[in-house]
Amino acid sequence: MPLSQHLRSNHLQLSTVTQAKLWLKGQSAPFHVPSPLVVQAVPVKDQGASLFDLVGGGAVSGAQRERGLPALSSGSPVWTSQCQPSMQVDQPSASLNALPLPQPAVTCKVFIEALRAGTFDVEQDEVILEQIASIVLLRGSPNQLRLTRDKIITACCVRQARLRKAKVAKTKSIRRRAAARRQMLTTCPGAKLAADPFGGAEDGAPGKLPAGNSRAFLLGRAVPSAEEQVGLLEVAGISQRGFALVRRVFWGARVGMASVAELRKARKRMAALPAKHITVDGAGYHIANLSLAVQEGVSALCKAGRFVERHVYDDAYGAFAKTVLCSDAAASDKSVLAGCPPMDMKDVHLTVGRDEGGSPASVKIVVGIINEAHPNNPNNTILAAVCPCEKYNYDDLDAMLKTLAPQFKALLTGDLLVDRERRAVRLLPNGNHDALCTLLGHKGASTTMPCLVFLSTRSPSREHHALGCKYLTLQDVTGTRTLRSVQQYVGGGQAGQSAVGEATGTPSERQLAHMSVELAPLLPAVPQQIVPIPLHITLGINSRLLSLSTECVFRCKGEAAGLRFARRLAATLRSNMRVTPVLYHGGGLHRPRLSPYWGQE
Amino acid sequence: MAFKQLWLLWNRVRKPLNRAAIATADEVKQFQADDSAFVTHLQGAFAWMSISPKLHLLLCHAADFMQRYGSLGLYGEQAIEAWHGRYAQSARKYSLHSEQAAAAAFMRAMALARDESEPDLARYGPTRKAAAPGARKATRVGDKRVRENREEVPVCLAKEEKAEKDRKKWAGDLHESAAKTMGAYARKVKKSRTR
Repeated sequence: MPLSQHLRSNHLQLSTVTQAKLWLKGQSAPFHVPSPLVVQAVPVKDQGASLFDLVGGGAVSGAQRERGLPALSSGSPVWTSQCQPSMQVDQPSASLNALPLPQPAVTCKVFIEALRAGTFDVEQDEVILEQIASIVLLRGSPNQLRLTRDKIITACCVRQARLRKAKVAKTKSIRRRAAARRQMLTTCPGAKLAADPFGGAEDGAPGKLPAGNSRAFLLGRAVPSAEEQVGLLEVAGISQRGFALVRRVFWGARVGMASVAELRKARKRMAALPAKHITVDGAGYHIANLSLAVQEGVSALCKAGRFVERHVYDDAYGAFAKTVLCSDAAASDKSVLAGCPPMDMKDVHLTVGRDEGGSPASVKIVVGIINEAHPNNPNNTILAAVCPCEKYNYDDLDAMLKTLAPQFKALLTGDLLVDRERRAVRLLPNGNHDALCTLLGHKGASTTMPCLVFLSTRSPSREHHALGCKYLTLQDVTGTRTLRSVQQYVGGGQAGQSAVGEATGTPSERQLAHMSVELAPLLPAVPQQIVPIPLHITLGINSRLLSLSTECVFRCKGEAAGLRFARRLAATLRSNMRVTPVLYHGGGLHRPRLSPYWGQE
Repeated sequence: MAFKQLWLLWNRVRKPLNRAAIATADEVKQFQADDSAFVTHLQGAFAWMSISPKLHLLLCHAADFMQRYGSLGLYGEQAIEAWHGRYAQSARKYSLHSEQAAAAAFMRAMALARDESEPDLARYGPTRKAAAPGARKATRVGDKRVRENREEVPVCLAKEEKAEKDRKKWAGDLHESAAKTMGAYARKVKKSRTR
């Protein structure tokens, strides 16, 4: 016989709070099957001792049944004459009309006061008090149940721990694993679970627990929340309608795919977050709060345990020890404001790049967080601005950065929180050479001093002979070069001012007055932190080496041979490398991708 | 021969230049040596070659930056370039009444997508182990991993004609540029001889 049925067939009593209140007021009310359980004490004679069985569940009083009373959903107490307990307990009756109403019971307050006063010191009370204590302590999951059968036999049911089988069937093991996952995710939401050896799932990170009898729930797998699913749609470029169609066809609700209504709500919730706000001005579209967006990215990395420490290395290629945290005093330091905190200060490496291109043409400003494993993945970067335009100059870029420049300043002064530590920002500008020049107010690659880092001149010339001797030229492979001043790209108002003195007559002195930086830098930068743009170096040098091959033929075999060679080179690149010249990328080469439908007809 | 040597040296330089990983001390030293050898060889074997700002970046800054930050590829501009591709792909999805509106819609969508990066979402799905070393290499004769075995992308005649025209133009431009460079170099040599 099941335990619950066994309990019901005995004398166990219970009633609802409403019933108790009604009873206390002396009102009669029809009773029904109780729902919220309230412990009731039922005195029963058991081998000379009165017991109060304090177990929940609808039952019929055994004593009443013996007397031939009708079955009740909640019985009234029947006190035996010889062993009445010293305490009175409130006992609502299901048949108040049939039985004489007992004396009104004491309230809980009175009971506690009486307990404190030592009223229940009789030996018989100890059992009852113990049971009250056990009810309180083992509420919800009693490991021990005391049952009285036929007023004389007391049965004590104790929950026993049983050893689990070490080796069980696959289905059982899957169920156990699922139960363990559910329990872990419920009790410790941030817990990292072990990978599922069968499914290969690694779903321990906090996620939404699927509700109901969904398949995901039965498998014990966490599914992405509605917000995460909105992000997933944007990352994958899937429309909401397409997602809804897939959900419907594949019964996606069972595996936790959100409905369109849920997605819309989640989208609204996310759009309301300050970090997701977008501002619009005449130049384009910008993130409203860059600091918040970067902090959001950094926090997400920390939360997922994917924050990677990046170091700065000394001359012996040993990493500088980072021991100092950023403080309010340090945040106002000039080097920190320039995006170049001291080497021993804990920092976060950020790149800021600007590039124009794409179709439709637009200028994009992107902030990359380098403190992660794959910083080149666009999904791991922050698109700070999009400004639709074909061509731009310094003034256009100035207008584009009008909204963002104060935000960069706030980012540099405001620091970032990484695992509750304040860290400074190390800002490294990148992009193509032209973009870097425009950003820093430099005149460009064809000026006298084209290098953004050193004060070297482009090539030896009579006009700038003095400068060439002092600072070397780009054509010099060996020699010690002179770095540009750190302040040159930091103090925007000082652009065009000479580091040496006022401009005088000679070309070298005039050149030294501005050092090819005539306009105010739009963002602060330290020369040594300018990224040497590896991608554009590769593209540029590849292209230059192809030109060089034609020049070699031209030089050795003449002009006609040079032209023939150039045509043969284009044909070879087409047939062997499957690339074809394009008009963009400065006349670069492009390999068309194979269509996914090709060869399937 | 000098040209072949140049390509060999460039091949050694370009790999660590674009690798998105922290280099070891030996790799940094090797890169510095290769880098210097490449530019020196370029300047020595091809006298008309001048050091352009990009070559200067490679010679003077790339090695220094790698020595200081441990990597160049990690700090590179691949991500920015990738955004152009994503913008172009999404252009149809967010095509509204104007280009401005499309850009705004794209920005809003990307703001929502920001913290749901692929690694973040990958935790929900099954993970794949990395392939064993050499498992992805072509072993059979007709393996399509080899470029020669891949089928060519079919293009219409008009597109092929345009590509042919572009190739001719590209070859012509290349030849013209070579002629200009060699002409300038010849004049320079003549000038120096007359002096």
